[in-house]
Amino acid sequence: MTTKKLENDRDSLLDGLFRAQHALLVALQGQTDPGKRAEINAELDRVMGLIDEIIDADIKQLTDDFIADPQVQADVKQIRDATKEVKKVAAELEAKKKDLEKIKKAIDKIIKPLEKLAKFVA
Amino acid sequence: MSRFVPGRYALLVVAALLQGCSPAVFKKQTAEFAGAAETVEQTWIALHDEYDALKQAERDRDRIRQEWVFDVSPACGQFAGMLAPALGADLSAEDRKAAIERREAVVKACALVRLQADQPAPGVIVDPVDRRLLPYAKAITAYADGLALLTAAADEASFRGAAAELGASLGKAGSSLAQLGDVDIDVSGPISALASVYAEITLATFEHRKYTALRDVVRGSEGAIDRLTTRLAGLETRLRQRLLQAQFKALRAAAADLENLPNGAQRAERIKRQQAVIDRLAEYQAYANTLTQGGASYRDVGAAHAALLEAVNNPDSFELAKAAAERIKAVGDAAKDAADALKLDLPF
Repeated sequence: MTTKKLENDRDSLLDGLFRAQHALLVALQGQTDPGKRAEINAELDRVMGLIDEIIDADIKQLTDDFIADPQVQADVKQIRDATKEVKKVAAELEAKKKDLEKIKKAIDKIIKPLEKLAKFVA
Repeated sequence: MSRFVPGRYALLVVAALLQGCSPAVFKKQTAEFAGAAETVEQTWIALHDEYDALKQAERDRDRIRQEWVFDVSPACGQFAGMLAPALGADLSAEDRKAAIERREAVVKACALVRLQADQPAPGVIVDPVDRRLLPYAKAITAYADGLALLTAAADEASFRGAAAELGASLGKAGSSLAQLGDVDIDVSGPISALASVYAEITLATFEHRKYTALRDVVRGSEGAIDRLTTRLAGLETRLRQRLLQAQFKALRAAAADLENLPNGAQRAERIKRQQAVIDRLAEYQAYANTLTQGGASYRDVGAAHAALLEAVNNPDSFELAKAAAERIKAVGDAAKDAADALKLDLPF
């Protein structure tokens, strides 16, 4: 059986258990016989226990696997490096904008004498 | 009179080529990705907080139950044992006073234990398994913020504005020089062309750098983002199921509370407990709905990033952008020629 198939089966099982426990709760509300109520309650406890067990085991296993997986570490490093890269480029571009403003000021300085010269010539 | 107009035709070509290859084209996808990542991080944290609160409520209920069994009951049992002699008719005044004091002490002890049982347990116990994942979630959010920062860097409008001003200044210089027409040289053409070349080169370099950085980083990260978001989505689904289960337990407790109501209970108390069941049921159904709708918001982050990748991989002008990069060099050379012709020391 493939892992995917197992996951699908487990998801189906959980879905069925969630539906079962809700149905049991509804049944309990409509039941007045003490014996039957005790039976429903016992079944409800059993179903709730199963769900807790499956989910807790899954969360722990998935989390442990996730953190221990070298591929995850590599992926997170890749993302963090990419983050640094884009921030670096953004900072470079901001700096270029400032350079452009500096150049513009420098050129303004060239223009003023030219204007004076133009007035003089005129 | 001949006019030297360097790179003017090249400029027209570049301007045409550059249209549409600006990263501004991807702003929508980048913003959507960043928005999805931000939403997910907030949802993730809220989910954990809610989960912790529910777990804490469960612990409090267990604690109260235990304290009533192990603390309150013995204390009250002791109180009952002491009550009989205290009420005996043959006690001396001194003994009676002592018995009353002991009874009051026990009553206070019972009240104190009840009070403690009603208080939340000190400190919230954080589930170490789930909290370990937060740094991974935050890495994706930081990445999305970085992309948003890149696409917003030195926004095109202000940059273009600065370049236009520069062009105007150079044009003005050209006019001034043109007024020296008596010296047989009309250099207004070269100067204004130079201004345009300069502005276009700067813009082209700027936009091209932004585009290539965005494209490369998104391409390079796609595999990692896809794997991480898929796995985080699986975990998120389980966490939501855990919350659903916690809601169900609260619903069952509220229903049991309603059923165990004493026959003589006041109408107001009955209505209050019925309302608690209705509220719990609504919360349970709301969670159940999030599960049936897919729920895993990390899938949205993965999808948003995939859309961004598709956009940067398939811009209408992607091939044109490459061609534009090649032409930038030619335009740059033309600009240098212009600068040389005018003997201007410009930083190309």
